[in-house]
Amino acid sequence: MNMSAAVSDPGAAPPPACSPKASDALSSVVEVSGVTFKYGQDTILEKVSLNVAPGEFLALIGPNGGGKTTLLHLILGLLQPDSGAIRVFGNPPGSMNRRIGYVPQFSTAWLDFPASVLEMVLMGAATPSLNGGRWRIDKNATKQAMEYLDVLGIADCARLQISALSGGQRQRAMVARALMSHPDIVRASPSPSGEIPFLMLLDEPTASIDPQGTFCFYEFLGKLRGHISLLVVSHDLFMVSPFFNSIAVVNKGLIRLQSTELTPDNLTALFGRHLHDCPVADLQHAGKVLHQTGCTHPSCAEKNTAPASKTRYPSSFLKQDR
Amino acid sequence: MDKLPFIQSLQDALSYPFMQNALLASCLASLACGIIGTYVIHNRLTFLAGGISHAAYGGIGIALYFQLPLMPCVLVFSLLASAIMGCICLRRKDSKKESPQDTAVGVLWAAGMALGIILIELTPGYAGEIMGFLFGSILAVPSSDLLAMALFDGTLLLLLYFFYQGLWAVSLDREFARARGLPVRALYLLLVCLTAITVVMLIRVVGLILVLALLTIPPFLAMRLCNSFLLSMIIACFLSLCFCLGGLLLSWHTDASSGASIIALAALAYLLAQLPNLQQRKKSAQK
Repeated sequence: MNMSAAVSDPGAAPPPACSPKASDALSSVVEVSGVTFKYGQDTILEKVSLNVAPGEFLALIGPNGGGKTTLLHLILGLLQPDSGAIRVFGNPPGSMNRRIGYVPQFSTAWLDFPASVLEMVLMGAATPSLNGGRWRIDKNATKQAMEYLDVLGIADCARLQISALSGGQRQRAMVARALMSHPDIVRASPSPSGEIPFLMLLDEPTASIDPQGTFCFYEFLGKLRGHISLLVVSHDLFMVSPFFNSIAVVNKGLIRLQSTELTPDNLTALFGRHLHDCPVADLQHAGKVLHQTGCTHPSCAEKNTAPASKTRYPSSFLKQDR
Repeated sequence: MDKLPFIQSLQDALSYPFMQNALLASCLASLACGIIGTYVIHNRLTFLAGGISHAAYGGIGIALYFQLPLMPCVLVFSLLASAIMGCICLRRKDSKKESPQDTAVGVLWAAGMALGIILIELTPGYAGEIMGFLFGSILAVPSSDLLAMALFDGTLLLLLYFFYQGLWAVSLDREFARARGLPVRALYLLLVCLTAITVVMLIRVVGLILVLALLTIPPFLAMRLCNSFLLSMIIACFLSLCFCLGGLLLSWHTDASSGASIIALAALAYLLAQLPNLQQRKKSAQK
């Protein structure tokens, strides 16, 4: 699969979230307006508003129980808000899920289920039908699934059982499954009209992956820029920072951060005020080291054309002038 | 040439009509048991299936007290109980004050049995059929029940052919299936209702107390033998049939209860399958 012409350079600075042409097509992929959601008497989200522009890479960060996953479930139509409105691709949530690739938290797939990785990935193209749901398992679908697995570096695992995969491999398989719902997303060039018809929602995709695997994973997501809009729930400000257009903190309410950099304000939003003075310098230093080193994972090293020692990430990430 | 004693014994046993019926019932029950049992263990429905089987005792009580046809009454009662349990399991927990889902199933489990016990005690006369429901009566399966079992198996195979992918998706990853717009609730309730019908069918074979073992042991062993969902279903059907036939022969030779013999054989197979694991743990502990 020829990725070079199709994908963006992950090291390039994030482009504007929305091109003028894309604006003409659809101003927002997701519109959340004043949404409140309660579990019984417990308010999980209160008057949350959020717009995700076509092509935007938005990371949702925040403490556990802050409502990040709930917000994703509301966008998917799995939950109904108590008040407020949500539009996805200009339609009510749930009605456009064929244009959404979803990666749930890792624990939802049973690990002892007798299914191969390929079978699980093929399921990604499932559509509702009279008989509950169906998807193709023919040669073309298999070829498509194998291409995605290849892009994600786990084509060799296609015939393995899900239970035989490591945490990182399993997450990659789940991303391949999510991509299956939109054929040719990676292969095709970005639409000339600027239209980006596909949204990916990832719920803590790197929760069980080591730092190296996490780095590779976000690097891969960076390659999808221009092909998808992306909404990721993550605790990894460190990792999402260089790859995303914007970051929002969700903790009952929602605040969009002014930048994606590791500023004291952003770190405070993530870690809390009590750690404010301590980690900023350390984290900035760690970030610098990490990005100068690059990823040394064999699967990435083979594909990386740039030497690992070169910094391939936005220099703004490493600003030291605070 | 003289026949082997085993073959001779089998021929003797099968010369009786009640044994022929028992053989047919074993085949029919094994088919449903292997298919539904596979879904039960992969959807973590074992506790719910136990709840349905024990709640079915309430149906027996109602049938005896109000002098209604026994099997249809048990079937309807079990379907109702399973639908309630299924809805409870699907419901989102809105408050900490609400009971957990397994508690609610446990309550229905016990409540069904309590209702059955009370109504049977209030019913005048001796209810001899009850023991058959508690411990199975595969040797006393009438032809009408065989017909009902065959009809259910046929329907089950049709439904499986039609809903296989949907049920597979729900079994693997319910949340993802919902996100893709699949009717997860309907598929789940369908599965729970099919489980209820299978449980009622198996009650005839091994009794409501032992039904869980027959529903879970063959699929569990099948799961260890292969890596394919469909293949594990087929192997589970075969294993279930082996246990039923083996148990029947054991019961024929020892005069023991047929239901208990079937389960004893299945439990023995389960223990044998666990032996390698136990040995491995022992070695790990020694290291």
